[in-house]
Amino acid sequence: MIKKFLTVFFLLITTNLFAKETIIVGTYDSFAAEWGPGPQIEKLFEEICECDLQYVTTSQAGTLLGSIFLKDKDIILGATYNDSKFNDFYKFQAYDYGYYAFIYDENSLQNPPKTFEELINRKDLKIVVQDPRTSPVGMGLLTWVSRVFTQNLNEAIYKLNEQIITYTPGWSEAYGLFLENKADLVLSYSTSPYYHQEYEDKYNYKALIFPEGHVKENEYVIILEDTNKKIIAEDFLYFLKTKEIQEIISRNNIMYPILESAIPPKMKNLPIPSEAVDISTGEDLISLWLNATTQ
Amino acid sequence: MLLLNNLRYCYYWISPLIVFIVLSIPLISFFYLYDLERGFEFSNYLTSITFFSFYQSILSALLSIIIGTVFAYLLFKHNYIYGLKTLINSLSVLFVLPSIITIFGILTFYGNFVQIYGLFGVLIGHVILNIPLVARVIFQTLNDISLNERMLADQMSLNSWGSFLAIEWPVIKKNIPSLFVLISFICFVSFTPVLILGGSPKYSTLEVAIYHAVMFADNFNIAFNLLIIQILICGSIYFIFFKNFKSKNFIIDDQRYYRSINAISYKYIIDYLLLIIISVFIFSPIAFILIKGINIKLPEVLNSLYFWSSLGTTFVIGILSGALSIVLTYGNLVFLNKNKNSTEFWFYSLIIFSPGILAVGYYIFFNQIINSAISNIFIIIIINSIITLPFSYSYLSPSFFRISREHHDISESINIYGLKRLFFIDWPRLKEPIITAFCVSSILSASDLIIISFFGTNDLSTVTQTIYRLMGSYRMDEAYAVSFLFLIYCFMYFMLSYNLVFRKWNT
Repeated sequence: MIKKFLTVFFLLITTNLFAKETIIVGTYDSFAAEWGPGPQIEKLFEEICECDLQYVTTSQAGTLLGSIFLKDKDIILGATYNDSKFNDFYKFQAYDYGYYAFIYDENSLQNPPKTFEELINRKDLKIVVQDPRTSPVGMGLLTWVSRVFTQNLNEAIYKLNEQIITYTPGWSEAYGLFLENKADLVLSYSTSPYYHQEYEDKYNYKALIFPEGHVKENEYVIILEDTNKKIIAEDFLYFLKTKEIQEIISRNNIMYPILESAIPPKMKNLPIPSEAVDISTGEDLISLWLNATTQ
Repeated sequence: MLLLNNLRYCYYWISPLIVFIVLSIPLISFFYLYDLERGFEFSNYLTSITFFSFYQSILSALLSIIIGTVFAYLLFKHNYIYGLKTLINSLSVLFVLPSIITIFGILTFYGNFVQIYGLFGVLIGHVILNIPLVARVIFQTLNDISLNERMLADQMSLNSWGSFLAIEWPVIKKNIPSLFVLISFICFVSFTPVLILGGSPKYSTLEVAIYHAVMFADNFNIAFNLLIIQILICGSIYFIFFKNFKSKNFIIDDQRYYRSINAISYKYIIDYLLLIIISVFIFSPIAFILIKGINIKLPEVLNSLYFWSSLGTTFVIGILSGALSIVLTYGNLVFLNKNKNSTEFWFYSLIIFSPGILAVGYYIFFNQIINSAISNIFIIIIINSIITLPFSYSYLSPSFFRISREHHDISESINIYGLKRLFFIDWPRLKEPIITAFCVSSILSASDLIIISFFGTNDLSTVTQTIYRLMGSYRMDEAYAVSFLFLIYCFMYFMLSYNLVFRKWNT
């Protein structure tokens, strides 16, 4: 009896001593989901690092950099750039990117607007976008509008708002409504049609490419200053840049990979938008938007 | 004996004490991050959304109560109609479904006929979400009316309007203040329904502003101040409507099973029409989701690991937080019954501390203040059971107070109290509302999307979260299929719970 007890006891101790290091990655829901890129990356990385990679997720991508989410994480994956916060991080690196764009279904919208100017001046469109107070994509739209309509920003926001039927809390609800034919246009990424082409064999979803330019948004992987696993974390950053992983990310996250050679064939055929010049004036876009829309 | 008496005294205090502690933790957390140096400016935007929160919540509550009461009365009056029992049981299920499912149903179904966004949309959404609650609670109390009263009414040959005023109305009236408070609170802190159905930042609630302040602006000052404003406004609603309009004088006795002697007849044609219209109005969004769920991806979902593992987690979280919620509610009911002067406001104020605020508050508390190593699943279960308290309470309290009034003197005189009283007096008489309350709080916990997004991990996710994740990855068909399976799960959960209890403990 005592023998058995001792064996178990020692087994427990030794397994604890040689326990693999756990590395905690905070990310958003759809990245870590079974069908997202997360699980494949986890499996491949654990094979080489002899560690245990764990995802802790939030369903609100915009909250990734909130101070309360950063607590106890080693790595944050999926955040968008933020001036005030990125200075405090140990290291960060982009792993994929996309351009904000409006998506439409060419079977139901016959005369899509050709320019952003035309879009805000039309009166017949039903657009669904994300709320900038709760979604980074919604915030992206405000940034985009502020870069394109530098002279008459207030008026542009006001006119655009006239055609927006609703602001949803997140990307999921907006895109869901669009797929249910409840809107002509939805704000998403210019790579969204890739999903329908690759996985559903549908070619009727298109991104509107505007000559005024689009906003490019990088998604970053970040090593936090507080972590004591910086070496493994840096390995992870390097690992994310390899071609195999870049392909997995691109195909499952429906975004452009940083490594150009890793772009999947069907994504290569999509039109690439030009970039609108960043002439940020540091205005509080949310207050501006609230003023223009709550009059 | 003295010790025993003290223990008994302790017992009464435990449950309310737990509620009190639970409520103070998020406040402590918010205050912990409060920066006294920073000022607070009440902008036009904040004024307008405060006004809107108040205005829409009162309107939504009024409409829900009017339609819900009519519905409950008709259901009760015509309970001889075949299949109505199923309809009534489905009402509880309808109320507890994840709001993302109901709202998608509303948008995709009603969106086909009307321009839904705006105040109109918010009201439609809130009314559809809350009618089932009103109807279920009122239906239950209508069943408590004594047969003697009805016989008396017959003898006095009152017409149906007269007998409604004399018999049903007093009972209904008694429930209205608490339902009004409950629903106006739910609508006041409404988040997803208001954001999506409102369609414009003009129509948003304080809750959205609090969320934005905490999650994006990292400004706990605004969040804390707005939370206090929210509590003050809801407190006033409570004290104006609840305190002043609560009436307790109605007669009740033990023979309370009433079977309507009516039969299907053409003179009730308007009643039938109304019954059909209201049923279609509240059930069609869900029916729409059910139909959409039977699609090509259904077999794939059934074969997937993610569905079954999330269903397992959902089941564990649901059953444990449902049970805990009932234990706490019962304890508080016993306490309230002992201390007639104490207020139920604590209970209702749990709603003002919406899941979002509670989750953030606890997240800060566990991670930043005490650095605990409590397993996440326990935290999820505890917060969920707390959040569902007001709902278990509203399902359980009418019958509990009635039973305790009937049996109080006799139990005291033969010295039955505590657990003994629970098993011998309350349980046999209260098992139906207890089971309803248990199922409601179980599924409400399973439907939650906010708490799980704070404390869930990749291996610990619920079905509702899975639905949201699927939607977030272009997979609408799978999301509908999972919603369909989840709806079936909810119905089965209710059915099995009832059957188990009534077969085993049928006295």
